[in-house]
Amino acid sequence: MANPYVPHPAVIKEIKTETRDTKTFRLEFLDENVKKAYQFKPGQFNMVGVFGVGEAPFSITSNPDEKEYFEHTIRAVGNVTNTIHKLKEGDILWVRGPYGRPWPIEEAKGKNILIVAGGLGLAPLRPVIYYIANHRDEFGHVEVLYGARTPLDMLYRSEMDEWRKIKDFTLRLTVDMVPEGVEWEHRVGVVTVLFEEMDSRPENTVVMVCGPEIMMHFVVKGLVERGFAKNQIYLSMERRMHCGIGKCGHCQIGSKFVCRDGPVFTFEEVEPLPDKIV
Amino acid sequence: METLILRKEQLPQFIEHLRREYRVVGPVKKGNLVVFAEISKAEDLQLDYVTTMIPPKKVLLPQRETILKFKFENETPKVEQPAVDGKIVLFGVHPCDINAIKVLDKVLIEGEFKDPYYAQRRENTVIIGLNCTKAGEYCFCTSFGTGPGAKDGFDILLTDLGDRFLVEVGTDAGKKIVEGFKELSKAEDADIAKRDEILKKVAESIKRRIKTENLETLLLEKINDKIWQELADECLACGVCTTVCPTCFCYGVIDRVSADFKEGERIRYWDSCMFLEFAAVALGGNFRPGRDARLKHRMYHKLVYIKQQHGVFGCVGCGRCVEFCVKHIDPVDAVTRLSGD
Ligand SMILES: Cc1cc2nc3c(=O)[nH]c(=O)nc-3n(C[C@H](O)[C@H](O)[C@H](O)COP(=O)(O)OP(=O)(O)OC[C@H]3O[C@@H](n4cnc5c(N)ncnc54)[C@H](O)[C@@H]3O)c2cc1C
Ligand code: SF4
Ligand code: SF4
Ligand code: FES
Repeated sequence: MANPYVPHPAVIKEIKTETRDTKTFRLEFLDENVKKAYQFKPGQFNMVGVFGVGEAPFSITSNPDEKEYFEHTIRAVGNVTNTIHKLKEGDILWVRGPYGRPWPIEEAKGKNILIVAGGLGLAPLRPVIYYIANHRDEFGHVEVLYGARTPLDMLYRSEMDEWRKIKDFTLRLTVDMVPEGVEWEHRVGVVTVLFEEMDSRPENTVVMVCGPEIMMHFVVKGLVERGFAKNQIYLSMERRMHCGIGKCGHCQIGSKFVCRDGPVFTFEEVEPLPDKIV
Repeated sequence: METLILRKEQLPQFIEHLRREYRVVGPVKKGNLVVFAEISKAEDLQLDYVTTMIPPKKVLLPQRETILKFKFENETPKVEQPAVDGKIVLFGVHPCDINAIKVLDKVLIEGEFKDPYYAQRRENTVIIGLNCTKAGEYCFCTSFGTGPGAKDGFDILLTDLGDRFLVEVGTDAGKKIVEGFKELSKAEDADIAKRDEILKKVAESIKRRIKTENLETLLLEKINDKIWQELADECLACGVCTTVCPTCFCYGVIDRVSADFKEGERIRYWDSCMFLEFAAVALGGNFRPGRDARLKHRMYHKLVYIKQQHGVFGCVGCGRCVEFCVKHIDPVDAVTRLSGD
């Protein structure tokens, strides 16, 4: 019987510092067969762990068409994440996955895409941007609204020039505040200030939102006010997870298992659920 | 289904017969309680028990178990999967607990992923059920059709008819066991009538009831009712209700390393949605910080959400969560008050 709790060793090929508390880890499975069989969809996550410390869920943040490696952008907040941050290139992480319901890429084909991300919430959406760049003709206009606390808390800033070169692709940035001495040429204010200047309209558009739940709350509210339907807005939810495969019960919101029924849900699905902020 | 008779004086031999191939786990007396434990002879069994405190699910989903072992030998630790124990007969399981195992099967075996440890134990386990001949103070199984008689979910089912047991065979595994024990005689129609009469009497003695018609609609309408805060004010959030519940499956996972840091284990343990940390996330977030939210999640999971998730009620009416709660917080009472009856 295949044991879904057994993780596979993956070697850290490269570590990139994104912000003061966040790093991106490029990983490659040691076992060739595991590497060959592994394929994820944008929005899915892996359980990543260190033996002796534990496991936690992390969005897969790399290019889904890349077969050699995959990446996680990880913020140091607790036991597992701080331990991972201490690792070096060549060290091993233990990975199982991919798990969960992905972003609605198939449904978005032939349509416009609006992405709204806050802080670390850009991590699960980066594979969508890669996918769009790789398959540009399959989608209409693409607009990304991204907000972070300060310019220094923005992920993937060095890649944004590449993104701007994607055909018919608009990237709009904002930060809550700009510390003294930091250069910033974009907006200041919470991510919803970008609604004022966005081109996206409800017609023929799929919206993908990820960020802190309180941010998603205001984003969804603003979108609904602008005529977006609840079933065209997709959110990625975060809950505590101990298994990732629908068994441990930790990630439940009402009757939904976030690990199995999500993490991506429409707002229509999320709205009636209890114990949430969004 | 085949029906046979096992005379009571044959029970020791029957247990011997089972023990040739299986470890037998059944209800035994321990202090003031009856607990499920391995037995070596029929005399160990306490078959007139009403409800154990800890349900027999502990045999299939142990309270604490190692799910992976690791050894730090070189750069890359070596990972091992522990083997599960051999063949077991769960003897004398009451219908509520049989039905609870059916719920656990749905959660832990069905779907894209199987829990490998539960699934293997389940495959290795024969269930010999025991219909109830008396009800406990807190029982309300009749609300869910999960007792006092079992309809399915067993390999063999016994009913105590006084001087003998009626033996019903539910599966091929059960058939093999009774076929290997030649001493059984055929049951008469009168034996079956006697079973029905006993079960009817027990059912009639159970007065506690949750109305299941429109229960989902009622509860979803009343999700903000003040009753939840009232119950939460009583609740100690100690988690005894989920520990004793035969359908609670939630677990947490923790790694333990030996003192010399040479090896370790990934362990899972029964967790409880009643605990504050259960839904805690990084940076101080918690999606069920209030006791009312946690108590409500438990009751709604049992009465509404498991139904939405798996098509069956998550409560089998065993009454344990009421009996062992210091404050006797009671889903029957809660639903009765909400429905205004
Ligand atoms: C689908 C999904 C995708 C995610 N993607 C990413 C991602 O791409 N990048 C990223 O950085 N993060 C991501 N996360 C969040 C990440 O999983 C958490 O930050 C991670 O689990 C923290 O683990 P840790 O061991 O470092 O923290 P822990 O040590 O577990 O502590 C985290 C917090 O949990 C609480 N806590 C934990 N255990 C207890 C306890 N026993 N008692 C009380 N409180 C407790 C505390 O509030 C603590 O601050 C994602 C989460 C989900 C669900
Ligand atoms: S909720 Fe209470 S009565 Fe229902 S199955 Fe669980 S312990 Fe028994
Ligand atoms: S969520 Fe709570 S009530 Fe439901 S199975 Fe888990 S511990 Fe039991
Ligand atoms: S993480 Fe265990 S059930 Fe979802």
